[in-house]
Amino acid sequence: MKRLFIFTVSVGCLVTFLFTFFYAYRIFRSSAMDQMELKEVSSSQARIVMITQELESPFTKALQVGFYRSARENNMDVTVWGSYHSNLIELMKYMDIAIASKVDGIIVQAMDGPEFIEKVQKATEKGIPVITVGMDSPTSLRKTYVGPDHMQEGELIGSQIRLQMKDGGQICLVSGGKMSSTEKLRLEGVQRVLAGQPSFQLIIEEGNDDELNLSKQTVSRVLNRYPELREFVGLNAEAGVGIAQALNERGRGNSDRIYAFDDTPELREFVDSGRITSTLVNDNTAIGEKSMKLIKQWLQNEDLPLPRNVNTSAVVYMGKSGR
Amino acid sequence: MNTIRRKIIWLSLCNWVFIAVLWLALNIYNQKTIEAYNTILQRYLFMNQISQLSSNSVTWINRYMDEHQQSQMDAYDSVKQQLEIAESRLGTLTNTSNDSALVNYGNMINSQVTAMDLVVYNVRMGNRESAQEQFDVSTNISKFISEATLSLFSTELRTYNEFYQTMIQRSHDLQKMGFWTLAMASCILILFSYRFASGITRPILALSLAAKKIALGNYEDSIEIKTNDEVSFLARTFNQMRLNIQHSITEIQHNAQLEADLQEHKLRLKENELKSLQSQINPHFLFNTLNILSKKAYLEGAEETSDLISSVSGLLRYNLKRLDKPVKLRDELAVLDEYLTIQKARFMDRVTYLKEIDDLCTNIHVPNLTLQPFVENAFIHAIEPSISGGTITIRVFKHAGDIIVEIIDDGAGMDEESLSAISNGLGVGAKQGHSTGIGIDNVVQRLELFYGVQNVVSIVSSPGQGTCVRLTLPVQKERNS
Repeated sequence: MKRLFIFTVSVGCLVTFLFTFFYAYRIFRSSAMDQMELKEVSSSQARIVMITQELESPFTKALQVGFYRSARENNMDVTVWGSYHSNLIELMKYMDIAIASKVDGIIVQAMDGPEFIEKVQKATEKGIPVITVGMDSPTSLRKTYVGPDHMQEGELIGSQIRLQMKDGGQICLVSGGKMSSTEKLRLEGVQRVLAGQPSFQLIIEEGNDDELNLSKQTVSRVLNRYPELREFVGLNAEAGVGIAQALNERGRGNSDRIYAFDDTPELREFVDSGRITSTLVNDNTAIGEKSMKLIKQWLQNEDLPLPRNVNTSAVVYMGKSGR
Repeated sequence: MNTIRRKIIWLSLCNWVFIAVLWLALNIYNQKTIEAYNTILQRYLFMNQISQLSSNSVTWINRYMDEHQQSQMDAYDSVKQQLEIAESRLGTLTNTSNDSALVNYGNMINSQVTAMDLVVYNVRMGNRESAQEQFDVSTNISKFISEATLSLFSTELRTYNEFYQTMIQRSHDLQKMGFWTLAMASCILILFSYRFASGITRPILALSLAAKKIALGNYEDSIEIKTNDEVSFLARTFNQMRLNIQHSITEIQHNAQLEADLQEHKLRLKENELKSLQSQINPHFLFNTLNILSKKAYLEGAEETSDLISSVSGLLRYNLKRLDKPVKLRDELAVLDEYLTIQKARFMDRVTYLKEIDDLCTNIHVPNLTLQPFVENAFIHAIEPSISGGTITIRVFKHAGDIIVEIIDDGAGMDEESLSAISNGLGVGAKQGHSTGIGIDNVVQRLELFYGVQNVVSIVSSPGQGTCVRLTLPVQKERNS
């Protein structure tokens, strides 16, 4: 009995000691490891702000990859700001914040409108360089534009159409909303290529200001009017997808040809599955890297003035098989 | 000596140290945790304060624009000053993930201050429109600042998320450790107390058991307690006491035995005295009767009978003398003559005496009645069984400073066995048939006691060769008789 008692208590002692030690060790280790780091960081980094129309869009994502890659190399700090859907007011607010924060450079996906031009002017007054990417605002005081030449894009698609329809015919060009400058440029490009060919008849359909992304309805309307239409051009990504969907609903699409601009996974998928004939792809990562390089040039006063436009080449994508 | 007091002090001291260390460690740790919490809290408070200052300054500017009061201007100035101080201290918040955000933040504050100063300037210049424009700018910036504050908060939370989690985990761990420590302390304390208590009580228990044993009269088992405190001292003393008591008891027992023996001896002595008194009555009467018989025989002309009776009477008288007084060998020999006369009358021609006595040797003292038993022995064993009788030779001579008395018979003799039996005092019938009632072994003992030496009597004998009893009496200084 006495033995048992001593044995039990000794075992208890050992067990409790082990547990105590275990917890003490855990506490000790965690407190030794996690001292709150409050180090002074010399903020000599150039702070670049990227303001995008749509966060999470493939374009922005690809751009970010390029930014971060060159930012690491050049000791710059890039912050990406933006809303989840294209919104001029938000974009203006971010421009304001960037200006008030006296950042070292603004990279922005331009929007049409006098407000934007005004903000760029304000930034320039404060000595902040603004570079537009992907979409341009040529009338503003932006330092340079990095991205595809949209006119050229239009021409590419135009020549593609010409190649495919030797006999000419009706071509419907669709934009879901009110045409932006980019879309206008693309349209212009297409028109320019097909200008010398009277057999080609262009039907241009655009939505209005307050109705965004209604390309599907627009296409349906057009199809009602022109049931014989075989050729479609979506002037933006949304329009491309809308055309494909509208045709699909009518049980058509296999014999029709759809052309689209922009490089989104959805469009690529449609091209791969043959529902869209071809689209244009850009190396967006390269846009990001190039714009960073230009900002750096500006900040270091090298090779000034900067070129007005730095165009990246667009490539016709016709599906994985490369039809 | 490790006393009980010291033991108690040690136990208490150990306890105290344990508790003190634990308390200190926990306290220090707690202090550290609180400091960490304070740092975190201060960061948030600081950011919040900036946001507050920013909107306050806008409020004051707005009032100033409307009312142009100097007091409002002063209030604005003080808020602006605070804002600028806060801005200069922004660097203390810097960490890896909010570096550029903080710079932006600081710049926004600067922009706001600039815009507000422009408001003041324009108000003073009376340029209301510009003032309003700048005021809108500063209001916007103030909004941005409060948004940026929220964004900083969220960055802060993200950055230190792991740290906070660790802290929470740690506090849980600490709680658990507290419980386990309590359990451990309890266990250790139980164990120590138990050991300590049994360290005191076990020897006391052993001691009380020993005391019980002693109370029951068992003094044999020794008390051994191998601690080194007062109890052991007590045990040693107790053990000593036990030994003393045991010793005393043994002594008492011994004394009692002695007393009992003495008592027995006394009783026996009384009995003997009584017996001797009894036996003395008869011999005196017998002695007187024998004397009368001798005279009567002489008067009636039976001279031989008268002599015989006279011899018996002489022998009897000699026998009645005190046994403890030594006598001269001469007297002893004279008594022997009387005895031989009596025996001669009994055995007639069957017995022959030969006496070769050196008269120079007869002055030695010998114990009473030492020769007669041997001679009588010779008669019993040598003469009586033999039909043709025998010869008894008595020789007294000096040899090598000793006086030798030899009593020789030519009887059947003895074998080795009987001889050794006699010399061991186990002779069969050694005491039987003696007229004087004194046996051989008695004589041998008395002789040895009287002379203080061993081997006074030696017997040489072999079957068919007779027996020679030799008494070797050492010559000694004349003793007082």
